[in-house]
Amino acid sequence: MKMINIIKLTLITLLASIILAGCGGGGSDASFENTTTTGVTAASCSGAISTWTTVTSGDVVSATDGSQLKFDHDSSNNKKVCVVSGSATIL
Amino acid sequence: MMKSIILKTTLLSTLIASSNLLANGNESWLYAIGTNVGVSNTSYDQINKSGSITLIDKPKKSFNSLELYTILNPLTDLCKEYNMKPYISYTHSQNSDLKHQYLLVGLNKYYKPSTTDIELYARVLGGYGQIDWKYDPLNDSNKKNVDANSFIGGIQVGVNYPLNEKISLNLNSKYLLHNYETKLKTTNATAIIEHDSTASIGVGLEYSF
Repeated sequence: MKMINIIKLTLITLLASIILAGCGGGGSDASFENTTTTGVTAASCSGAISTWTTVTSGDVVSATDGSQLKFDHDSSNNKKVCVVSGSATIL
Repeated sequence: MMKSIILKTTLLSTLIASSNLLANGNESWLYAIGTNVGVSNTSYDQINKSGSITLIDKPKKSFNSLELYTILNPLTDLCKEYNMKPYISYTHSQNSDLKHQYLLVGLNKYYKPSTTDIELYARVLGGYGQIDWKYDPLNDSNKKNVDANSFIGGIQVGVNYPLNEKISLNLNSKYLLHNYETKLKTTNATAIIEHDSTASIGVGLEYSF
């Protein structure tokens, strides 16, 4: 009888897991917040690429709603970002 | 960290409970244990909810993984009739950004072509897992251990090639669906990173007794 219960439990677990995984439910989220860092204001795209803001490994570019950003590399292969419209900060 | 301990304790308890049930039974149940090493690819999407957050270092999608599993002999006449076996496994995978670990239970269906020694199988899987961030993606210098959890559903196909009476070589591939969500919030933007599926291949040894 115990063995049959194991099978039933396995089947129920399988079914529940597949449904919950497919529907995207049942878990808990990870959460990260950085609202204390002021950051560096990203440059406008109106100037040459040398005037754009350099971003490096570990940086985060945070832009306001509706902002348009442009990413590119300069001749020295530095990664650069600038703001076409709106505003952005580098954390 | 606590969830990780609970996950591992649950696995261990399940394995011990399975062994006890088998040992206490009147029939001599055969079962198998095995291990696989492999690589997996966990895909994700970032959805900006307000404003936009761009991580210059994208989290890596590729993981190295290690799986420990046990396969129980057919436990009911129904399973015996259809040549199916329950399966329980624990997988630990990681890269430099994330740890991904999960517990799975499943049912195997075996096919053995009469002309060869190899055994093919298909497996339907369900379980629970977690990803752990090794650092804060919004502050790279800040080491973290923050996890997201999700139910998992999936399928697996594989092949066993017997090396001798007890040991066989196992090659398999899995596809899992899950929904790990990581919420990001800055002063002017919010976003969600959704790790939604994992595809993996593994190779290992299986010992039957």
